[in-house]
Amino acid sequence: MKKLIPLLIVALALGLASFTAFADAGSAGETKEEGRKIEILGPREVVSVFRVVEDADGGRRVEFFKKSHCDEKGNLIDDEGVVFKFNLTTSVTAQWVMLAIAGTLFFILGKDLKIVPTGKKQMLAEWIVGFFRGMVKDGMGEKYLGYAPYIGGVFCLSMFSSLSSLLGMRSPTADISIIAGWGAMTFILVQINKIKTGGVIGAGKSLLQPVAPLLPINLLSEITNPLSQTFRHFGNILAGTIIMGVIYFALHYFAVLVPAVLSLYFDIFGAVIQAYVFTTLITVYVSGADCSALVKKKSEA
Amino acid sequence: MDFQVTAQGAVLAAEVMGAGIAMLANLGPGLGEGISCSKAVEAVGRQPEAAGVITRTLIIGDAICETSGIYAFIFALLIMFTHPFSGQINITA
Repeated sequence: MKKLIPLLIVALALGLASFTAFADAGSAGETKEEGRKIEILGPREVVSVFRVVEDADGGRRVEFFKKSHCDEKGNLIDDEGVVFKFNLTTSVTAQWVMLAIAGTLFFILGKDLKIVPTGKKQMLAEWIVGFFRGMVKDGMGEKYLGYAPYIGGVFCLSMFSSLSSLLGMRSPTADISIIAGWGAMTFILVQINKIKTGGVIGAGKSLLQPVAPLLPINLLSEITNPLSQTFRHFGNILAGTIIMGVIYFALHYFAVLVPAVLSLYFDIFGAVIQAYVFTTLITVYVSGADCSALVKKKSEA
Repeated sequence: MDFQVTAQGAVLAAEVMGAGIAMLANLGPGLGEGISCSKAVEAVGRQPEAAGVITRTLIIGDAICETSGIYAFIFALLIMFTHPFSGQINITA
């Protein structure tokens, strides 16, 4: 039974993804014959998990699992009077599919490990683990080795999601909400590390480094560091996706060899580099938020 | 040959021109990354066994320098595809 768990996860993720991705949302997604549209910035099918709608007479009701409608240009139009909604887009479900695939892959890589490696599978697993542990040890130091699984997870998720545009999907990382989530996670990790190493006093003191009048600049850089991380990753992947879409659109029926060669740079190189830079910046920010030097212990005196 | 410039048309024209001018900001990263690459090539020439570390540092530095160009790109996309000022066009006489 335990061996079926990865299969169950994959089946669940694929089912949920197909519920949203292939759900019909009006006339969106149909290609028009009289003028080809570039459907790269096209609509994502959206299901609202729950919506708070205000009636005309002021009463509010909650609706679950309503599909949003798209007008003929592909813009989402909601019903009138939606006060608050929590949407489920294809980008999110595509990310679940990527999580399921990556999880299953690494689950299979990590089974039947021996002390002395005899197969290629274990060599690959050891190389991957050694790569991430080396990255964390170089960037953050010995005491932060617990972050290695998280760094490896973000790297692999980002790389797999960006590379899924090679398979024809619109990659989930071409959607800023996904990457903004990872950037917000970085912000949360930085604050947690500040409070964990220095206490609240140390965290407050770190905002006054190196001189007290720099407080607004330090506050601003707390926000802009994850924000620039987000924008860098999202902008590069989106630029690659758009350029590949334009190339496929231009070579209408002759898109045989040139897009494959060009996608070596725009899709593959960009995806790997951006994943690496994103995780390197996570290590830099989290280890830079170490406040233990600002809080002197009484036992040192 | 008289044509009327409607307010809608003027706003759309300004949008497109603004997006084009915003993309001029990509001059900076191109120049900067070329200069950094030349320094990296010099460093590899001076110490060829450090070529792997130098290449990795170059790539990471390039990705950081690219950010300002990406900001300009996102700004241009935002202007072109979400029409931020289309709700403020007042048709007066």
